[in-house]
Amino acid sequence: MGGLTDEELIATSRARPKSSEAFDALDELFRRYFSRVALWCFRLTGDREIAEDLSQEVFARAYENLDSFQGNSRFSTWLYAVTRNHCTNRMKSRAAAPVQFGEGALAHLADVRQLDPQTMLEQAEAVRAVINDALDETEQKVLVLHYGHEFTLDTITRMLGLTNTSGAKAFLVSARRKLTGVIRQHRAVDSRRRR
Amino acid sequence: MENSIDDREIQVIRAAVAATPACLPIEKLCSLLHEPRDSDPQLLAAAHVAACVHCSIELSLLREFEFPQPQAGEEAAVDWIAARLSRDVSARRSCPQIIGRDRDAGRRAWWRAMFTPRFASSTAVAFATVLLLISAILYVRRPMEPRLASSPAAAEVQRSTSIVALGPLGELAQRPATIQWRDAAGASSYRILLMEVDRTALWRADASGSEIAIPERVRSRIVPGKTLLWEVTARSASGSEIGSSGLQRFVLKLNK
Repeated sequence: MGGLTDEELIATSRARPKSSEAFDALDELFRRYFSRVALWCFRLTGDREIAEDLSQEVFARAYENLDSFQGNSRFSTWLYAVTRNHCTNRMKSRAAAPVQFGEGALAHLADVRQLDPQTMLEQAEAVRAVINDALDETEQKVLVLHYGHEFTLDTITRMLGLTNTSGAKAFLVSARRKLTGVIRQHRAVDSRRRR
Repeated sequence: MENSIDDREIQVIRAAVAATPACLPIEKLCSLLHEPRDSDPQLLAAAHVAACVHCSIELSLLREFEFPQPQAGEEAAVDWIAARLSRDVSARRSCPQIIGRDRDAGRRAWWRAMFTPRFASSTAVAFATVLLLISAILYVRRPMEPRLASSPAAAEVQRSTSIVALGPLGELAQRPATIQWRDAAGASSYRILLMEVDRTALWRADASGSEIAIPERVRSRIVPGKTLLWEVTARSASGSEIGSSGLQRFVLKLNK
Protein backbone atom coordinates (compact mmCIF):
# COMPACT_ATOMS: atom_id res chain seq x y z
CA MET A 1 0.00 0.00 0.00
CA GLY A 2 2.88 2.34 0.80
CA GLY A 3 3.75 2.81 -2.87
CA LEU A 4 0.28 3.95 -3.91
CA THR A 5 -0.68 7.60 -4.31
CA ASP A 6 -3.41 9.08 -2.15
CA GLU A 7 -5.83 8.97 -5.02
CA GLU A 8 -4.99 5.31 -5.72
CA LEU A 9 -5.62 4.46 -2.08
CA ILE A 10 -9.03 6.12 -2.27
CA ALA A 11 -9.79 4.22 -5.45
CA THR A 12 -8.81 0.99 -3.68
CA SER A 13 -11.07 1.73 -0.75
CA ARG A 14 -13.94 2.55 -3.09
CA ALA A 15 -13.44 -0.53 -5.23
CA ARG A 16 -14.14 -2.95 -2.38
CA PRO A 17 -15.91 -0.96 0.32
CA LYS A 18 -15.71 -2.30 3.88
CA SER A 19 -13.27 -5.00 2.85
CA SER A 20 -10.00 -5.62 4.64
CA GLU A 21 -8.23 -4.10 1.66
CA ALA A 22 -10.35 -0.95 2.00
CA PHE A 23 -9.47 -0.72 5.69
CA ASP A 24 -5.79 -1.06 4.87
CA ALA A 25 -6.00 1.59 2.18
CA LEU A 26 -7.75 4.07 4.48
CA ASP A 27 -5.36 3.33 7.32
CA GLU A 28 -2.43 4.03 5.06
CA LEU A 29 -4.06 7.16 3.62
CA PHE A 30 -4.91 8.67 6.97
CA ARG A 31 -1.58 7.72 8.56
CA ARG A 32 0.15 9.88 5.97
CA TYR A 33 -1.64 12.92 7.35
CA PHE A 34 -1.51 12.31 11.10
CA SER A 35 1.30 14.80 11.60
CA ARG A 36 -0.13 17.50 9.38
CA VAL A 37 -3.56 17.39 10.98
CA ALA A 38 -2.02 17.11 14.44
CA LEU A 39 0.11 20.21 13.85
CA TRP A 40 -2.82 22.22 12.59
CA CYS A 41 -4.98 21.19 15.56
CA PHE A 42 -2.17 21.83 18.02
CA ARG A 43 -1.52 25.31 16.67
CA LEU A 44 -5.18 26.11 16.93
CA THR A 45 -5.67 24.85 20.45
CA GLY A 46 -2.25 25.00 22.08
CA ASP A 47 -3.18 21.87 24.04
CA ARG A 48 -2.05 18.46 22.89
CA GLU A 49 -4.94 16.50 24.47
CA ILE A 50 -7.56 18.75 22.94
CA ALA A 51 -5.61 18.69 19.68
CA GLU A 52 -5.59 14.90 19.77
CA ASP A 53 -9.35 14.77 20.23
CA LEU A 54 -9.77 17.32 17.49
CA SER A 55 -7.51 15.33 15.16
CA GLN A 56 -9.55 12.21 15.76
CA GLU A 57 -12.73 14.10 14.97
CA VAL A 58 -11.17 15.43 11.79
CA PHE A 59 -10.32 11.94 10.54
CA ALA A 60 -13.74 10.62 11.51
CA ARG A 61 -15.33 13.49 9.60
CA ALA A 62 -13.02 12.90 6.65
CA TYR A 63 -14.06 9.27 6.59
CA GLU A 64 -17.74 10.15 6.81
CA ASN A 65 -17.44 12.59 3.94
CA LEU A 66 -14.93 10.76 1.80
CA ASP A 67 -17.56 10.28 -0.88
CA SER A 68 -17.60 14.03 -1.40
CA PHE A 69 -13.98 13.94 -2.52
CA GLN A 70 -14.30 14.11 -6.28
CA GLY A 71 -10.65 14.45 -7.18
CA ASN A 72 -10.95 18.12 -8.22
CA SER A 73 -7.99 18.86 -6.04
CA ARG A 74 -5.37 16.80 -4.28
CA PHE A 75 -6.59 14.71 -1.40
CA SER A 76 -4.32 16.72 0.90
CA THR A 77 -6.10 19.92 -0.10
CA TRP A 78 -9.49 18.33 0.47
CA LEU A 79 -8.35 17.11 3.89
CA TYR A 80 -7.04 20.58 4.66
CA ALA A 81 -10.49 22.02 3.96
CA VAL A 82 -12.09 19.38 6.20
CA THR A 83 -9.54 20.06 8.95
CA ARG A 84 -9.90 23.79 8.79
CA ASN A 85 -13.69 23.82 8.71
CA HIS A 86 -14.01 21.33 11.52
CA CYS A 87 -11.44 23.02 13.73
CA THR A 88 -12.89 26.45 13.12
CA ASN A 89 -16.39 25.29 13.99
CA ARG A 90 -15.22 23.50 17.10
CA MET A 91 -13.15 26.44 18.26
CA LYS A 92 -16.09 28.77 17.73
CA SER A 93 -18.34 26.53 19.73
CA ARG A 94 -15.77 26.27 22.52
CA ALA A 95 -15.06 29.91 22.85
CA ALA A 96 -16.97 33.11 22.56
CA ALA A 97 -16.28 35.66 19.85
CA PRO A 98 -12.67 36.71 19.33
CA VAL A 99 -11.18 38.93 21.96
CA GLN A 100 -12.06 42.48 21.14
CA PHE A 101 -9.86 44.44 23.46
CA GLY A 102 -10.44 48.13 23.63
CA GLU A 103 -13.86 47.73 22.11
CA GLY A 104 -15.86 48.87 25.08
CA ALA A 105 -19.31 47.61 25.91
CA LEU A 106 -20.67 51.10 25.48
CA ALA A 107 -19.39 51.28 21.94
CA HIS A 108 -21.08 47.96 21.22
CA LEU A 109 -24.37 49.14 22.68
CA ALA A 110 -24.32 52.57 21.15
CA ASP A 111 -23.13 51.72 17.67
CA VAL A 112 -24.93 48.70 16.34
CA ARG A 113 -26.36 50.44 13.28
CA GLN A 114 -25.57 48.81 10.00
CA LEU A 115 -23.84 50.78 7.30
CA ASP A 116 -25.71 51.09 4.05
CA PRO A 117 -24.31 48.69 1.43
CA GLN A 118 -22.88 51.37 -0.84
CA THR A 119 -20.99 53.11 1.97
CA MET A 120 -19.77 49.76 3.23
CA LEU A 121 -18.51 48.86 -0.24
CA GLU A 122 -16.67 52.14 -0.69
CA GLN A 123 -15.09 52.05 2.74
CA ALA A 124 -14.15 48.38 2.44
CA GLU A 125 -12.49 49.13 -0.90
CA ALA A 126 -10.46 51.96 0.64
CA VAL A 127 -9.51 49.82 3.60
CA ARG A 128 -8.49 46.98 1.30
CA ALA A 129 -6.11 49.34 -0.48
CA VAL A 130 -4.57 50.40 2.82
CA ILE A 131 -4.24 46.79 3.91
CA ASN A 132 -2.32 46.04 0.73
CA ASP A 133 -0.18 49.15 0.73
CA ALA A 134 0.42 50.16 4.33
CA LEU A 135 0.27 46.98 6.39
CA ASP A 136 3.23 44.69 6.62
CA GLU A 137 2.83 40.98 6.00
CA THR A 138 2.35 40.02 9.64
CA GLU A 139 -0.20 42.79 10.22
CA GLN A 140 -2.11 41.59 7.18
CA LYS A 141 -2.10 38.01 8.38
CA VAL A 142 -3.19 38.90 11.89
CA LEU A 143 -5.98 41.10 10.58
CA VAL A 144 -7.33 38.50 8.18
CA LEU A 145 -7.05 35.63 10.65
CA HIS A 146 -8.74 37.63 13.40
CA TYR A 147 -11.50 39.39 11.50
CA GLY A 148 -11.83 37.05 8.53
CA HIS A 149 -11.40 33.68 10.22
CA GLU A 150 -12.35 34.75 13.74
CA PHE A 151 -9.32 33.10 15.30
CA THR A 152 -8.45 34.29 18.77
CA LEU A 153 -5.29 36.29 19.25
CA ASP A 154 -3.70 33.44 21.21
CA THR A 155 -4.35 31.07 18.34
CA ILE A 156 -2.95 33.52 15.81
CA THR A 157 0.14 34.04 17.94
CA ARG A 158 0.77 30.28 17.87
CA MET A 159 -0.10 29.87 14.20
CA LEU A 160 2.30 32.57 13.13
CA GLY A 161 4.94 31.61 15.67
CA LEU A 162 5.06 35.18 17.00
CA THR A 163 7.58 35.55 19.78
CA ASN A 164 7.13 39.19 20.78
CA THR A 165 5.72 39.82 24.26
CA SER A 166 2.14 40.60 23.36
CA GLY A 167 2.01 38.33 20.32
CA ALA A 168 -0.67 38.99 17.71
CA LYS A 169 -2.24 41.76 19.77
CA ALA A 170 0.58 44.16 19.00
CA PHE A 171 0.18 43.63 15.26
CA LEU A 172 -3.58 43.99 15.45
CA VAL A 173 -3.33 47.27 17.34
CA SER A 174 -0.87 48.59 14.83
CA ALA A 175 -2.97 47.47 11.85
CA ARG A 176 -6.14 48.94 13.28
CA ARG A 177 -4.44 52.24 14.02
CA LYS A 178 -3.59 52.52 10.35
CA LEU A 179 -7.04 51.46 9.21
CA THR A 180 -9.26 53.47 11.53
CA GLY A 181 -7.69 56.68 10.29
CA VAL A 182 -8.77 55.86 6.76
CA ILE A 183 -12.23 54.75 7.81
CA ARG A 184 -12.78 57.93 9.79
CA GLN A 185 -11.63 60.10 6.92
CA HIS A 186 -14.17 58.37 4.69
CA ARG A 187 -16.83 58.71 7.33
CA ALA A 188 -16.20 62.44 7.60
CA VAL A 189 -16.39 62.85 3.82
CA ASP A 190 -19.56 60.78 3.77
CA SER A 191 -21.26 62.84 6.45
CA ARG A 192 -20.30 66.11 4.68
CA ARG A 193 -21.74 64.70 1.47
CA ARG A 194 -25.00 63.84 3.23
CA ARG A 195 -25.30 67.39 4.56
CA MET B 1 -9.68 57.36 21.26
CA GLU B 2 -7.03 56.33 18.83
CA ASN B 3 -7.13 52.73 19.99
CA SER B 4 -10.87 52.45 20.28
CA ILE B 5 -12.81 50.99 17.44
CA ASP B 6 -16.52 50.83 16.98
CA ASP B 7 -18.79 48.19 15.50
CA ARG B 8 -19.15 49.94 12.19
CA GLU B 9 -15.40 50.12 11.78
CA ILE B 10 -15.17 46.41 12.53
CA GLN B 11 -17.89 45.79 9.92
CA VAL B 12 -15.81 47.65 7.36
CA ILE B 13 -12.65 45.73 8.23
CA ARG B 14 -14.49 42.42 8.07
CA ALA B 15 -15.86 43.36 4.66
CA ALA B 16 -12.40 44.40 3.48
CA VAL B 17 -10.78 41.08 4.40
CA ALA B 18 -13.67 38.86 3.30
CA ALA B 19 -13.57 36.89 0.06
CA THR B 20 -14.84 38.71 -3.01
CA PRO B 21 -16.48 37.06 -6.05
CA ALA B 22 -13.09 37.26 -7.76
CA CYS B 23 -11.37 35.25 -5.04
CA LEU B 24 -10.03 31.83 -5.89
CA PRO B 25 -11.61 28.55 -4.79
CA ILE B 26 -9.45 26.13 -2.85
CA GLU B 27 -8.88 23.96 -5.93
CA LYS B 28 -7.27 26.90 -7.73
CA LEU B 29 -5.09 27.67 -4.74
CA CYS B 30 -4.08 24.02 -4.63
CA SER B 31 -3.14 24.19 -8.27
CA LEU B 32 -1.07 27.34 -7.69
CA LEU B 33 0.78 25.54 -4.96
CA HIS B 34 1.54 22.35 -6.85
CA GLU B 35 1.46 23.11 -10.56
CA PRO B 36 3.84 25.28 -12.60
CA ARG B 37 2.66 28.82 -13.20
CA ASP B 38 3.23 28.75 -16.91
CA SER B 39 -0.27 28.85 -18.35
CA ASP B 40 -2.58 31.86 -18.69
CA PRO B 41 -5.07 30.67 -16.07
CA GLN B 42 -2.24 30.01 -13.63
CA LEU B 43 -0.69 33.41 -14.30
CA LEU B 44 -4.05 35.13 -13.85
CA ALA B 45 -4.62 33.27 -10.61
CA ALA B 46 -1.15 34.19 -9.37
CA ALA B 47 -1.77 37.85 -10.23
CA HIS B 48 -5.00 37.80 -8.27
CA VAL B 49 -3.29 36.29 -5.23
CA ALA B 50 -0.56 38.90 -5.38
CA ALA B 51 -3.16 41.67 -5.19
CA CYS B 52 -5.64 40.04 -2.82
CA VAL B 53 -4.86 39.86 0.87
CA HIS B 54 -7.63 37.31 1.44
CA CYS B 55 -6.33 34.86 -1.14
CA SER B 56 -2.68 35.37 -0.24
CA ILE B 57 -3.42 34.43 3.37
CA GLU B 58 -5.53 31.48 2.23
CA LEU B 59 -2.65 30.31 0.10
CA SER B 60 -0.16 30.68 2.93
CA LEU B 61 -2.43 28.68 5.28
CA LEU B 62 -2.75 25.95 2.68
CA ARG B 63 1.02 26.00 2.16
CA GLU B 64 1.58 25.56 5.87
CA PHE B 65 -0.66 22.51 5.84
CA GLU B 66 0.83 20.99 2.71
CA PHE B 67 4.44 21.68 3.65
CA PRO B 68 4.38 21.73 7.43
CA GLN B 69 7.35 23.10 9.33
CA PRO B 70 6.80 22.49 13.03
CA GLN B 71 8.61 24.86 15.32
CA ALA B 72 10.85 23.60 18.09
CA GLY B 73 8.13 23.54 20.74
CA GLU B 74 5.60 21.90 18.45
CA GLU B 75 7.49 18.84 17.29
CA ALA B 76 7.11 16.88 20.52
CA ALA B 77 3.38 17.55 20.74
CA VAL B 78 2.81 16.63 17.11
CA ASP B 79 4.82 13.42 17.48
CA TRP B 80 2.83 12.57 20.60
CA ILE B 81 -0.53 13.13 18.90
CA ALA B 82 0.53 11.25 15.77
CA ALA B 83 1.76 8.35 17.90
CA ARG B 84 -1.55 8.21 19.74
CA LEU B 85 -3.49 8.24 16.49
CA SER B 86 -1.24 5.55 15.11
CA ARG B 87 -1.51 3.45 18.26
CA ASP B 88 -5.29 3.54 18.07
CA VAL B 89 -5.22 2.26 14.53
CA SER B 90 -2.76 -0.50 15.50
CA ALA B 91 -4.86 -1.49 18.50
CA ARG B 92 -7.86 -1.83 16.29
CA ARG B 93 -5.90 -3.97 13.82
CA SER B 94 -4.49 -6.38 16.37
CA CYS B 95 -7.46 -6.56 18.67
CA PRO B 96 -10.71 -5.54 17.03
CA GLN B 97 -12.79 -6.67 20.01
CA ILE B 98 -11.23 -3.86 22.02
CA ILE B 99 -13.85 -1.54 20.61
CA GLY B 100 -16.48 -0.93 23.23
CA ARG B 101 -14.50 -2.71 25.94
CA ASP B 102 -11.73 -0.32 26.62
CA ARG B 103 -12.97 3.10 27.66
CA ASP B 104 -10.13 4.99 26.09
CA ALA B 105 -10.18 3.00 22.90
CA GLY B 106 -13.96 3.18 22.76
CA ARG B 107 -13.77 6.94 22.79
CA ARG B 108 -11.34 6.68 19.93
CA ALA B 109 -13.36 4.37 17.79
CA TRP B 110 -13.14 6.62 14.80
CA TRP B 111 -13.44 5.50 11.22
CA ARG B 112 -12.77 1.86 12.05
CA ALA B 113 -15.60 1.88 14.53
CA MET B 114 -17.94 2.85 11.77
CA PHE B 115 -17.30 -0.53 10.22
CA THR B 116 -18.21 -2.54 13.31
CA PRO B 117 -21.00 -5.04 12.66
CA ARG B 118 -24.44 -3.71 13.22
CA PHE B 119 -25.91 -7.13 14.07
CA ALA B 120 -26.29 -6.20 17.71
CA SER B 121 -27.73 -2.77 17.11
CA SER B 122 -31.31 -3.57 18.12
CA THR B 123 -30.08 -5.23 21.31
CA ALA B 124 -27.87 -2.24 21.95
CA VAL B 125 -30.77 0.17 21.49
CA ALA B 126 -32.92 -1.86 23.93
CA PHE B 127 -30.06 -1.98 26.42
CA ALA B 128 -29.46 1.75 26.06
CA THR B 129 -33.16 2.44 26.64
CA VAL B 130 -33.10 0.42 29.86
CA LEU B 131 -29.96 2.24 30.98
CA LEU B 132 -31.56 5.57 30.16
CA LEU B 133 -34.62 4.70 32.21
CA ILE B 134 -32.50 3.63 35.16
CA SER B 135 -30.45 6.82 34.87
CA ALA B 136 -33.61 8.93 34.78
CA ILE B 137 -34.98 7.21 37.88
CA LEU B 138 -31.70 7.61 39.72
CA TYR B 139 -31.55 11.24 38.70
CA VAL B 140 -35.05 11.98 39.95
CA ARG B 141 -34.37 10.15 43.19
CA ARG B 142 -30.91 11.58 43.70
CA PRO B 143 -30.11 12.93 47.17
CA MET B 144 -29.52 16.63 47.61
CA GLU B 145 -25.96 17.71 47.06
CA PRO B 146 -24.11 17.67 50.41
CA ARG B 147 -22.90 20.95 51.85
CA LEU B 148 -19.33 21.74 51.06
CA ALA B 149 -17.00 21.11 53.94
CA SER B 150 -16.10 24.31 55.74
CA SER B 151 -12.61 23.29 56.82
CA PRO B 152 -11.34 21.19 53.99
CA ALA B 153 -7.69 21.45 54.73
CA ALA B 154 -8.01 19.00 57.59
CA ALA B 155 -10.14 16.55 55.71
CA GLU B 156 -8.93 13.78 53.45
CA VAL B 157 -11.35 12.49 50.94
CA GLN B 158 -10.94 8.92 49.80
CA ARG B 159 -12.87 8.25 46.65
CA SER B 160 -13.55 4.89 45.20
CA THR B 161 -10.40 5.27 43.12
CA SER B 162 -6.91 5.09 44.39
CA ILE B 163 -5.73 8.67 44.87
CA VAL B 164 -6.49 10.54 48.07
CA ALA B 165 -7.32 14.16 47.35
CA LEU B 166 -5.98 16.54 49.98
CA GLY B 167 -7.03 19.90 48.71
CA PRO B 168 -8.36 22.33 47.75
CA LEU B 169 -11.76 21.02 48.80
CA GLY B 170 -15.00 22.60 49.89
CA GLU B 171 -15.46 26.25 50.74
CA LEU B 172 -12.26 28.23 50.92
CA ALA B 173 -11.52 31.58 52.46
CA GLN B 174 -8.54 32.21 50.18
CA ARG B 175 -7.52 31.31 46.69
CA PRO B 176 -5.63 28.02 46.81
CA ALA B 177 -2.00 28.19 45.81
CA THR B 178 -1.50 24.47 45.24
CA ILE B 179 -3.32 21.25 44.51
CA GLN B 180 -2.31 18.38 46.75
CA TRP B 181 -2.97 14.68 46.86
CA ARG B 182 -1.43 11.62 48.39
CA ASP B 183 1.05 9.57 46.40
CA ALA B 184 -0.44 6.51 44.74
CA ALA B 185 1.47 3.25 44.72
CA GLY B 186 3.11 2.58 41.38
CA ALA B 187 2.51 6.07 40.03
CA SER B 188 5.39 7.72 38.24
CA SER B 189 3.56 10.86 37.19
CA TYR B 190 0.27 12.63 37.68
CA ARG B 191 -1.97 14.57 35.36
CA ILE B 192 -3.89 17.41 36.99
CA LEU B 193 -6.97 18.89 35.37
CA LEU B 194 -8.77 21.96 36.70
CA MET B 195 -12.21 22.50 35.25
CA GLU B 196 -15.28 24.63 35.42
CA VAL B 197 -18.44 22.84 36.50
CA ASP B 198 -19.43 22.23 32.89
CA ARG B 199 -16.10 20.39 32.57
CA THR B 200 -14.49 23.05 30.44
CA ALA B 201 -10.77 22.66 31.11
CA LEU B 202 -9.14 25.69 32.73
CA TRP B 203 -5.71 24.22 33.21
CA ARG B 204 -3.87 20.98 32.64
CA ALA B 205 -0.52 20.09 34.08
CA ASP B 206 1.73 17.17 34.80
CA ALA B 207 3.56 16.56 38.03
CA SER B 208 5.91 13.97 39.37
CA GLY B 209 5.24 14.61 43.06
CA SER B 210 2.09 14.92 45.12
CA GLU B 211 1.66 18.66 44.90
CA ILE B 212 1.56 21.26 42.17
CA ALA B 213 1.50 25.03 42.34
CA ILE B 214 -1.38 26.69 40.56
CA PRO B 215 0.02 29.35 38.20
CA GLU B 216 -0.96 32.93 38.90
CA ARG B 217 -2.84 33.28 35.63
CA VAL B 218 -5.00 30.31 36.62
CA ARG B 219 -5.44 31.49 40.20
CA SER B 220 -6.80 34.76 38.92
CA ARG B 221 -9.65 32.79 37.38
CA ILE B 222 -10.68 31.40 40.74
CA VAL B 223 -13.33 33.90 41.75
CA PRO B 224 -15.62 33.98 44.80
CA GLY B 225 -18.80 31.96 44.48
CA LYS B 226 -17.70 30.03 41.40
CA THR B 227 -17.34 26.32 41.99
CA LEU B 228 -14.43 24.65 40.25
CA LEU B 229 -13.61 20.99 39.81
CA TRP B 230 -10.28 19.23 39.71
CA GLU B 231 -9.08 15.72 39.18
CA VAL B 232 -5.72 14.02 39.46
CA THR B 233 -4.97 10.88 37.50
CA ALA B 234 -1.93 8.76 38.19
CA ARG B 235 0.12 7.23 35.42
CA SER B 236 2.53 4.38 35.53
CA ALA B 237 6.00 4.51 34.05
CA SER B 238 4.56 3.12 30.83
CA GLY B 239 2.10 6.00 30.64
CA SER B 240 -1.05 4.05 31.37
CA GLU B 241 -3.63 5.42 33.75
CA ILE B 242 -3.59 3.57 37.06
CA GLY B 243 -5.77 5.62 39.33
CA SER B 244 -7.77 8.76 39.78
CA SER B 245 -8.87 11.05 42.55
CA GLY B 246 -12.30 11.34 41.02
CA LEU B 247 -13.78 14.80 40.64
CA GLN B 248 -13.13 17.14 43.53
CA ARG B 249 -14.77 20.50 44.00
CA PHE B 250 -14.04 23.71 45.76
CA VAL B 251 -15.38 27.22 45.85
CA LEU B 252 -13.97 30.48 47.08
CA LYS B 253 -16.27 31.99 49.72
CA LEU B 254 -18.17 35.09 48.74
CA ASN B 255 -17.02 38.18 50.59
CA LYS B 256 -19.89 39.46 52.70
